[in-house]
Amino acid sequence: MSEVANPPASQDLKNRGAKVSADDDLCVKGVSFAYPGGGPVLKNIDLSISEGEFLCLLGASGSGKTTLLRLFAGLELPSEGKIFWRGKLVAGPSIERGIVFQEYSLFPWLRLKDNVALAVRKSFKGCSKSEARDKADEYLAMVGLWDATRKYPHELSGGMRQRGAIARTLALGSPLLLMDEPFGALDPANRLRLQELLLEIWKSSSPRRTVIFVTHDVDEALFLGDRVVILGACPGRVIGEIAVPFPRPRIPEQIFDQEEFRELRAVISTYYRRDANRQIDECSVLSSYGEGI
Amino acid sequence: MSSTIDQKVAVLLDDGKRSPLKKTMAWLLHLSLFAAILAVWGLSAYFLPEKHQYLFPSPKTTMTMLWESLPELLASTGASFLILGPGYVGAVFLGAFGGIVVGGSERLQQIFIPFARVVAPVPPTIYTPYAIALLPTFRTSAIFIVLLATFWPVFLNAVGGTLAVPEQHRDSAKALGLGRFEYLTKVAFPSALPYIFNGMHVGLGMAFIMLTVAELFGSTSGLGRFVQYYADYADFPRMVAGILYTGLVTFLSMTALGWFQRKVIFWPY
Repeated sequence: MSEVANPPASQDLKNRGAKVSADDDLCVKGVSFAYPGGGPVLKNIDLSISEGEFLCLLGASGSGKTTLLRLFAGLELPSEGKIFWRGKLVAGPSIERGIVFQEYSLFPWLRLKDNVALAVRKSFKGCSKSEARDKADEYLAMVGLWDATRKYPHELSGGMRQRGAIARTLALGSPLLLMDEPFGALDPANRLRLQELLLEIWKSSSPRRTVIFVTHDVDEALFLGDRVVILGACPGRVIGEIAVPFPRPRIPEQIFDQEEFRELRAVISTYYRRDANRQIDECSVLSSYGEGI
Repeated sequence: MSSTIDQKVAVLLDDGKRSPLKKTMAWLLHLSLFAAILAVWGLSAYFLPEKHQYLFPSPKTTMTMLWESLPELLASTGASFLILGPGYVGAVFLGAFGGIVVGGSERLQQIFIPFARVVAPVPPTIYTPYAIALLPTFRTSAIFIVLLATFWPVFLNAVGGTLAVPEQHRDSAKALGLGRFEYLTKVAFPSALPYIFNGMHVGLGMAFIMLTVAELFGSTSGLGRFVQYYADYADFPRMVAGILYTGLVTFLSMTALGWFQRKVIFWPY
């Protein structure tokens, strides 16, 4: 533990978010957020995400990671600071920034293909109903649901529903894909399968989509991301950042077995511990930390 | 959820996964109270002095009368449903449509909700004499009264259901860039359906009350009229038969509505 107690200088807190250039896809400047009448949820977040990057937002519960993602989506607006998407201020939701929620986001009264067709008709304006449904079938095939297109969400397993939700968001054609713990409710085998599917879709899209993936699972963040931004709680803030060095394509059993992987986990633990110590000094309630380690 | 009791009763009466013995047992229990009441009725009618038996007919007399009056009762049912049908269906369409439109707009809520708070609680029976006086025929006035009685519960539930669209569906709709019209038709309406059906159940009960009350006032046919007519002529066996028959019709209508609801809302909610 002791040799990794101090994270490498290149990944130190001081270096993060300092450079914000115009060609970044998403640019977050001094963003704070509080619900009306509530305490601060997020404080002074600076981030920049470049085109085609796979960024994981890793945080314990209470770190405001979901709120941050909702801010990116435009479902909430920051109390302070600004978010720019390709140079334009984010002022509300847009199909350019598609979001996949944790669970139950498909409309239960629509067949899978109609759920997806709803999104198709937004991205391909003016296409007919039957064209939209054909396209929907294509997106569903992409996530391996070609034989379930006529099913209703309640007839599907949790994993299939999440595949459907991903297909629906893909159908929007968004260059930015926001994912809010999309595999959080799945069993480990299903989760791994969907993680690999997601990487495959991300790799094969051209131009490559930018992905921001929220999770509390350290292994998931390190397996998926090019970069992991770690959020601390009370209020939500960036407490660390890690560039993930593993080459792609990544094979889970190889990655999880590497010494480097264990070291990165230890670095993340250190970030969490440091934030926990700060919380003991500054906060009345200690939020849980190191969830998923 | 709005129809919790209905759902609990449905679970209670769901015999699907039980053994035949348990099913039979359950049905015996379902019918036991009916049997007990029938027994008490039969015995008390049997031991009642002869002179009172006209006012308190035995089950057998009542059943005979029911059988004899069946053609007349069926015709009365037809007449009643010619009022109930247009009034009820019209109110459901107006109430559901209006409720969703109002529920989807804050401005419209500011206009309509205070008004609804004042007008909806007024017992619709109170309008009956005036409606009959005001409108040209008995049928139009009765339809109007049924419509009024059904409209409010459906409307208020539709507003409530539109306001209660779960957060995740609102977020999905926003994320998919759905416009206002698409949101109302494809998200708010289906999401509000359980509430709307709840209003339709309350409304159907109200509609039957209003129908029979209206028929007592000025109609020449119909179920309420049938009961009133034979009460006026002190033909109590026929009147009791009419009450029982009306009860059965109401029960069957409610059951049909429940069946329709399960067909329409096929997803778990």
